[in-house]
Amino acid sequence: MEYLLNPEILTAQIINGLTIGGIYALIALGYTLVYGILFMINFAHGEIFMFGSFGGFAVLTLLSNNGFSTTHPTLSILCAFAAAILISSALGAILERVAYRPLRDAPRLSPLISAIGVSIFLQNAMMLFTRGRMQVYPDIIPENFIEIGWLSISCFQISIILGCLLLMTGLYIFIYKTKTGKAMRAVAENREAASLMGIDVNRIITITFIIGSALAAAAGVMVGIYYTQINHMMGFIPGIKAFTAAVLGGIGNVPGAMLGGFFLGLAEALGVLVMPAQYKDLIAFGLLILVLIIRPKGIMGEVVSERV
Amino acid sequence: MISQKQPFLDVQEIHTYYGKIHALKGISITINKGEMVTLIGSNGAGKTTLLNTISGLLKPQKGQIKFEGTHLEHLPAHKIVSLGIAQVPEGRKIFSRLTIMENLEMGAFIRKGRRAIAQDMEQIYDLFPRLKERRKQVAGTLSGGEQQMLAIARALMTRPKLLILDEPSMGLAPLLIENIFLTIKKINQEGATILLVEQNALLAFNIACRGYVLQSGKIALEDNCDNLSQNKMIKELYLGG
Repeated sequence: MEYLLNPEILTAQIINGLTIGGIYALIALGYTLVYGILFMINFAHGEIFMFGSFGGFAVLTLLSNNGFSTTHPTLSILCAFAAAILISSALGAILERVAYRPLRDAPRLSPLISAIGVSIFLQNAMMLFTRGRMQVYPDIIPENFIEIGWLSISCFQISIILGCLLLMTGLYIFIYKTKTGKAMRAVAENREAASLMGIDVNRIITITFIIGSALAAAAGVMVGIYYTQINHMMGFIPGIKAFTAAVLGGIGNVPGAMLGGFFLGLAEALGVLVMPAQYKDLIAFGLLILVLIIRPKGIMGEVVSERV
Repeated sequence: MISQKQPFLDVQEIHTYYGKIHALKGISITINKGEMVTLIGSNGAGKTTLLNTISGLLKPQKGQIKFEGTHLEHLPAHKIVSLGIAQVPEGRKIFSRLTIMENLEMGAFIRKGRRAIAQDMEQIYDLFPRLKERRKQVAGTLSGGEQQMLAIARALMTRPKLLILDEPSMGLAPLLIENIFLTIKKINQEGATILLVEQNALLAFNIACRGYVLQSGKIALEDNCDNLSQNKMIKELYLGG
């Protein structure tokens, strides 16, 4: 257990935890935003993340094949993010329209089953498209390391953590400061009252899906660049993990999902210091069960008092 | 002005189902511009259903609703708001996790022009000083009476031509009720047409000019409020003898 106190290993694991935690958080936000407004778990959200990753992959492959990425690496990566966000947002909006909106007034189990169906459908669609093969993200930027004394940090990790924080700040400002964001919160609280204010509830729901999907797409490209290998099943485990993160933070609560993501990432990364790395998933889902038993509302789950 | 050819709001023979319940069985009411009309009736008579059908939350199976000549029966609720109809829903339904200011901003959702909105907000704060004091607080922290004021204020922010109020006195202390009703009267005097649903018929007859009595999905009676408050049946049923 000596290595537990080794600052080098500890710091490295904390950074690993923050990196993966940021990615969990980005995906978790999609779950929580949709739950906040529709009270449904969009179990196809992991696949939206996967499609984003493939969108980025397609663009980067194209750009690296024609040599554009060698001359303009940063621009290429930005293009990959843009394409991924476009594809996933469109997918999210279509899913809502086709698979969830017709079930808006159905019992709560129906949209859930629909979501699982969509998830299986999207996995298989991508499997057909890629023939089930693993795809490798082209190597566009070399993974440099920043050395600070004994500490060596990957610039990828730093970029991912900063990127996640930037997107989350953007989301926070959007939700709390813009008119559309406030309308989203109003719709989440009371759909009928919101429509009595002249808010087009369907439009707000579509926007919610688009935003959640865009964040998942960004996470997808980050995962592609960081881990390099992607396949059609890549959305499954991160999807459930991010769902866990959302529940940890208090499902429906935006800051909670951010916190839950980082918390889960750190718990996993530090957990492997005391137990074999194969038990990583055990930590995540063990935490989920614990939270559900001890504090089902999650860390940031709030009780809103309604006066009559 | 006096010889208006068509009423401001014209509800003709509407039938609305609430789930499988035939809640409105051919209701017709009219409201003229500038009037305050009240709708009374016992629980389950269909008052809220009628209001929700006018504001578009429910759709009538049959019949038509015209507001300033525009058909409403197929428009979604959020479009009806932009035509100038605002509803203060039963049970207030304020956005309790939003601040008071944000609630008012939501009232102004359909409007453009920051300055006019800011001016209206100031006027509203003059009308309800309590809301101004607490404008940065989350609305869930307000008392019941303050929440009712906020619900009315929020609806006023849409700049309605027709304001629909669904039981504004519900659950409030008598002193507060008086306060709210004075405010409603003031809003009417300043030019808004009002449709007021009230369980407390006496209060309603005091400030409205005309009234409809709703009984199990049908209009049982229509008259001016003076006559209604003298009516024997009404006295027995709604005014406690």
